[in-house]
Amino acid sequence: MSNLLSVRNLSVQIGAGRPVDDVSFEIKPGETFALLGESGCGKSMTALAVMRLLPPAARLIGGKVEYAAADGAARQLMALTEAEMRRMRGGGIGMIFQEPGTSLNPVMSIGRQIEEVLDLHLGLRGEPARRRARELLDAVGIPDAGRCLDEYPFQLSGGMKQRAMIAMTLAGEPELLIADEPTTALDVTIQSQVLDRLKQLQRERNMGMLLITHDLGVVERMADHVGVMYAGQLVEVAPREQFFSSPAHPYSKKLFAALPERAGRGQRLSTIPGRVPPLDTQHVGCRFAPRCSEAFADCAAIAPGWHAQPAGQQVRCHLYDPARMDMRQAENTAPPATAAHETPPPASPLLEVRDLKVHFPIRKGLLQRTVGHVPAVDGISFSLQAGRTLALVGESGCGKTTAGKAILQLVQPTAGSVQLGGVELTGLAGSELQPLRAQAQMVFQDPFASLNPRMRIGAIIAEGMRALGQREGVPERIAELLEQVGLRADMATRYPHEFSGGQRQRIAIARALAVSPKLLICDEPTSALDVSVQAQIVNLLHDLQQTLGLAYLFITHNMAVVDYLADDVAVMYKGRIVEMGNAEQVLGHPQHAYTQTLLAAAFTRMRGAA
Amino acid sequence: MKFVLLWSDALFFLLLAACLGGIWWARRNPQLAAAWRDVGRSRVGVAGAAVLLCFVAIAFLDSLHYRERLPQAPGVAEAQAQFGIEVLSALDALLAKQKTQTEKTYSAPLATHLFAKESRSDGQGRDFPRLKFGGRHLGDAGDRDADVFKRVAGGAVGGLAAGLLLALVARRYLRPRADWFAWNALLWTLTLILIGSGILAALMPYYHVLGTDKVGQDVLYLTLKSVRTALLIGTLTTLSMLPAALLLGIVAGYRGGWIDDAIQYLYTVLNSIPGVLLIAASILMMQVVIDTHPEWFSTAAERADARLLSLCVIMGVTSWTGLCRLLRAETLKLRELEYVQAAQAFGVSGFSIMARHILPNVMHIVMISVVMDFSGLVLAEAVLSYVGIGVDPTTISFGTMINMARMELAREPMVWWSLVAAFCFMFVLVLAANLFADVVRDAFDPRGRAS
Repeated sequence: MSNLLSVRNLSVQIGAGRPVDDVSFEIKPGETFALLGESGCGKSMTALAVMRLLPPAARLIGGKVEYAAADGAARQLMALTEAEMRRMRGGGIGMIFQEPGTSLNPVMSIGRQIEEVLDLHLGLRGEPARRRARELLDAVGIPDAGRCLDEYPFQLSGGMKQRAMIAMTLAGEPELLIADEPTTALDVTIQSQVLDRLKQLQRERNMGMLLITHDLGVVERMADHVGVMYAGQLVEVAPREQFFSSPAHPYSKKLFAALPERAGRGQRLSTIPGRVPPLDTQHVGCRFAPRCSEAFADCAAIAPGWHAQPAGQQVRCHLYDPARMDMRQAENTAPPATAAHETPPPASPLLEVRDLKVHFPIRKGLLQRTVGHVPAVDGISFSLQAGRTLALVGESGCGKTTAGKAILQLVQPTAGSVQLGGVELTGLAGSELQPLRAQAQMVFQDPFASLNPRMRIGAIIAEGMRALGQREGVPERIAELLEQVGLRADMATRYPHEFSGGQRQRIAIARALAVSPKLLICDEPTSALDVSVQAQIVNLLHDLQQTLGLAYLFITHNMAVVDYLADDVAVMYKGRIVEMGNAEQVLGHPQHAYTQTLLAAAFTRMRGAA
Repeated sequence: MKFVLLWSDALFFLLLAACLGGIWWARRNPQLAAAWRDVGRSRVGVAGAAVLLCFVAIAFLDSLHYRERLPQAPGVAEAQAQFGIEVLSALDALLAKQKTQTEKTYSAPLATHLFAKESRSDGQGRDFPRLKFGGRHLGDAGDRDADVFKRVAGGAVGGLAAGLLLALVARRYLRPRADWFAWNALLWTLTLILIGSGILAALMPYYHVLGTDKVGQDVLYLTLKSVRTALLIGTLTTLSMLPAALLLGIVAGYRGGWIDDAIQYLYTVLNSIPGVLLIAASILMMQVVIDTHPEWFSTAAERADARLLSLCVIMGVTSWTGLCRLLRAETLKLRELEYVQAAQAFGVSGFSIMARHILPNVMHIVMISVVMDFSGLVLAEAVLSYVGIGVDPTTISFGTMINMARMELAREPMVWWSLVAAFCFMFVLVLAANLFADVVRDAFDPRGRAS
């Protein structure tokens, strides 16, 4: 079968840097090609270049993109006029974006938005367009499609919005679908539904798909071919089975190893040191060489070429160069040492939560009278001992973050009791809470929003000490904390914007540790980070627990991290805890139907790999 | 001679002192010094600051007020000196010729004759009468164009020479001490200003460079006098508006609940009253107070000054709502950010959170809207003068000039020079302030700075 899309030597330049450098791949009809890599590797930029939607600063400096439609006409996308290209976008090539919340127009009904596309590409108007829009919504699995037509985006949940977005994309009857992280913003269970639907639609319509993702689970489920991108280059291209059974490039191997898997419990996660090089780096040798554990002399000096492996796998790495085989010394890839993981002796619980309820009032009318309540947290109870980790698991909207804030009294609990070290916290106000502040602290989800951009790192870390009246030895303590979380002491005079996401999360952890708390409430601390950085942060949290004896209340929806880090697990659903117990027991033999769904959605990823 | 310190003078000097104090403080604080160094590095910032400083210098000269000593009347003791009723400023003294040499009525820039024909004294038809002062040295037959050209060239060369001299000195002695500073931008701007002032200085003694107005006053003199009024109205109004806008806006956004409701109701009510009406009522009240207490003021200038100040305060009190609403909205957004919640988790007090986490992050909005408002306020003064409730009729301001120009533009042939003069000066002032504020805002935003 001929290729639907073939990309040859595509390069994009921004300033002095090349976010996309010499990228080639092809997609056949009905096939999925997945571009895999961490953020900043140029995956999205590749897709935008194919669509010719590059940002103004970026310039296409070379390469051909050939699009061969089913009617037999082959077009060079880079040679089309802008008017022809506009017909191609949405008509020939459809695109789905990451954030369903912002890619739909909030003041137009779903039906109108789909009809607009139908009018534009198929010339359908009026009743036929409406009928077609309804069929499309049915096709993407939206229940009660007729009603959804007249609804506005804000009335739909995230998963429904993404489905509506897919329906809109399908309205132009594209033969190629570009999906840029289509499920990253969705919950696990919703994620798998949307992916299944996408796969089914692809089969029905024989569409080609370019899937952009950083999630190995998504790749395994969807892709036929996998391309791993690093620093603007494809470093490995392989059929899926081949890729998952024997990843060839060291970067691919590291990506697998960085996943917190059940097998690795108690061990340190293997991390990729360093980070993706900045855009304007001038590369001489292999781009991955500085972070590669198997690098040898030639790697830093000579850029590797493609080396074909059996079964259609291709790697851009010197390790597979027959001419260099002898130069390379045998690498000892010793498994990471197993950390001693002792269960601390049972003691009286550090944190004891009983029947905690948080109800948000619904106010209406001129005088803001309360007419009802939304039960965000509806009577949860658990206890947590010093030095142990309790994971609070659930989808977004199930009340787990609110529960965390209510424990810290950042949100006023409606009822119930929270005891920290035997002291009742509910009902305390203002200065009475000060002792609590020193004992329990919080690490937030988004490291980009949790640090004041106008304050220096030192001032940010010192804030807690200042607020709690610690005046002496503050600079020394800041230096000590920065070292403790793996940063340098001289970084205290810098501003947050100079740091990467992972470093910012380290700073946020240092800020929480500044007041020497016994309990750390971590609210999705790794969900905004890349896989390799996630592994670094998880390792750091693990080490800190070992050395400082911290107790963690770990709020997350990432089952893999839970599996790796938690001693106990509590599963929350609609404001209630539906299942709680020892991690092994809950994850191994889930009793509640919801837990089973959650686990099924999370662990359908590779087992034989890595 | 007796010095007179008007209230507005006192405030002006206080502001200057505060700025100087601020500079001294910034020099000692390494973080602030680094930010200001970025401003000094920016060519646009330095050029804007140089232009602004020229305006401030004019306003400063115009704020040194005094009363002239009258000639000793016979039979009066030496100790009992008599002083003139008119309050003059240092600028008046510099521009004494322009102030006193008034023509009969309109004359175009650099004209030698009046703008309108008049019946000749000998009864022989109508003709353009000769000006009393403008171009007097030419006599009746002199070639005006050649004379003007000669003087312009002389002034420009003089200005250029002064500029070059300055550049030489700066390169020799100042540059080695601070080579990061955008000396070139400063010197270019100063040279341009010097050339302009050189030309003006060469022409001013002999011509009305920007023409004369309806009652024959020199327009250039009026324009220069207006600078002080504009700066005072711009800064004092802003200063009296800022505390209310900042405090109420941030508190409303951060605290929410009934406090937010109360503040919202307050500014909605204030906003729904037509602004001019509210200002008119307040000013008329002030005027009544001023008029019923003539004993408070020893000269007309002091009364006019009191009126100017009350205008500033009243405009400030009625114009905080816009900024307040912007700040409330931004604070609502910031309040939900995690760094604010992190501070709450440490038990930091509400006031500290507002001062340390929210205020610095809304300063860019304050900066932009304050500079944008500056020109609006000067124009608002024109509107108020039109209604008859602006500054005192004896106070010279851009507002009164623009107000006069309204009638002049309807004349045939049109009298355009007062409006153009006011427009050009205001344009340069506001543009310089905008560019400078832009650079300052960027310099204080840590995200924009290279590490």
